[in-house]
Amino acid sequence: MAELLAVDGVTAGYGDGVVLDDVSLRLDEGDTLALLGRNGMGKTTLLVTLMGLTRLHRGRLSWRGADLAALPTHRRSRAGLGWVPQERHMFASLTVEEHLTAVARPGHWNVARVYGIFPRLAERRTNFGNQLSGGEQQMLAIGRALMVNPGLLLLDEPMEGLAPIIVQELMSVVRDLVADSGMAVIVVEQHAKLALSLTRQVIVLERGRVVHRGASEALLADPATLQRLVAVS
Amino acid sequence: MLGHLVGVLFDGVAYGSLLFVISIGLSVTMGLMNFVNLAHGAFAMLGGYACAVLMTRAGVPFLATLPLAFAAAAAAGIVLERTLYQRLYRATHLEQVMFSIGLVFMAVAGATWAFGPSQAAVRLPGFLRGQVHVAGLDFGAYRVFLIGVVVVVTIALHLMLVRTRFGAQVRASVDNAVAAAGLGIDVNRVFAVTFALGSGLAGLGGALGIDVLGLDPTFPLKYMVYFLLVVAIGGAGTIKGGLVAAMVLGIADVAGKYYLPQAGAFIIYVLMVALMILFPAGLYGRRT
Ligand SMILES: Nc1ncnc2c1ncn2[C@@H]1O[C@H](COP(=O)(O)OP(=O)(O)O)[C@@H](O)[C@H]1O
Ligand SMILES: [Mg+2]
Repeated sequence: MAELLAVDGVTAGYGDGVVLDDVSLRLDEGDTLALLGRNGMGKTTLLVTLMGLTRLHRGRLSWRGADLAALPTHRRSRAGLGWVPQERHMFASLTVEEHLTAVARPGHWNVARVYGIFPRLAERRTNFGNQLSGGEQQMLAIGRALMVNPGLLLLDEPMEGLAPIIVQELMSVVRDLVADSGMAVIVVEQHAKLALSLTRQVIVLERGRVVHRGASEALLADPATLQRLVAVS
Repeated sequence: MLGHLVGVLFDGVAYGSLLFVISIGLSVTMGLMNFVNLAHGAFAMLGGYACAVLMTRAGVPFLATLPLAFAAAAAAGIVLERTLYQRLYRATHLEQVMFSIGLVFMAVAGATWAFGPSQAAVRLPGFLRGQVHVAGLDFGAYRVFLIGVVVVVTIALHLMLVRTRFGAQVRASVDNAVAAAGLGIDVNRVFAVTFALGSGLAGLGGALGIDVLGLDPTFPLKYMVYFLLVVAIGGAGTIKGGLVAAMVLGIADVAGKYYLPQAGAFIIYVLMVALMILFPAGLYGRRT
């Protein structure tokens, strides 16, 4: 498989502060990666660094062989990064349908296909972004990212704060997306086992550094290591 | 008595309509980029002079000058946005204020040099002079025309913002510029187009307003406070807020000068203080 994304020795943070310290990773087309670590370890910072929303102090970001760091944020999205932000970032004055059409780019995913996987969104098509439940917001955040027809989907804690019943509903959709869509996916998730069961490889961050990398399956089969790396102490 | 009241309301709405057309661009750009542009009135003045010059020196009919006034101010908006404004998006508000007040002084000096210090006058076509009689009341024909133009402009603007993809991208960028950019919307381009549109509307308002607000080189200074009040009271970034605020200000100003001439122009400031205490983020503004 061809290389999609390469992160090489990236040191980045907000303003002069450093959050990520010498982080590297590699992702092929269609590959899947779980990004784990306790709260505040830099997972979100890594994703928003890919989106160009932090200051890159050192290191390289490349996308399909080209320099990603040179692109402004909106061009990174257009190049194929599908960002599902942790804060969800709904647009309060856009309807559900407008969230999808305003960012649409040509490709497999269109409004009908997004409604196909999230029928609830079709029911809510004329509601505004600030009139949605947490679960609906998350569906819309994912559907909206799909509308840019990304080569890589960045899921930042998609299950956070959702009721168990909604988590199940959303999980089955996410599982199908990760398994069948052909898109590469990076998933950040507090439920480590869930993220590991979805993905092929895993990286664990601790205070902005990579402290573990390997196959998701192997880490899933090693509860002691998993406990040491991600359990809340 | 009732006739007076209707007349005052009508004049107030006409005045408010004018304030709205001129200020709406300022409201949207302040909401969109959080940019304090005190020079917005200079674009209105440019539209006014475009109209006056085209009419008096080139013999262009009044109605035909209106789209040209829009185009002239929009073109100036594009040029200044690309060359100057965009350098200050990330600057502090103080720097933006210094920069844009500097532009105001340059515009005032430039207009004085080009057109002289006195009032410019245009002769409205016959059908816009005189009165319209409805239900035993007299309405100024020009004010009826003004309100009509503003209704059309507002509907067009509303449809553009609510029905088109570009409109949705503008709203998304106002709501959350980071998320909009993160989903592929070129927020700077959205802003440049919006800025040009807002400048053009100011230019249209400046042309329409010659007969009501007057036109001389101090125009951008004289009315600056009114435009800022529309934004402060309505809330930055909202058309509805701008429309309501402009009407409230227009009616209050006309009514104040009519019923309480001793207080005169002071009324709108009292109103502003009261409204800002009740609605710190503006009538339709969002708190940030
Ligand atoms: N906008 C910000 N400005 C400054 N520091 C931040 C910002 N966002 C996060 N941080 C800091 O960066 C570190 C990593 O945060 P984050 O990447 O959000 O962690 P995670 O997603 O793993 O929970 C934390 O110490 C956090 O306080
Ligand atoms: Mg996070």
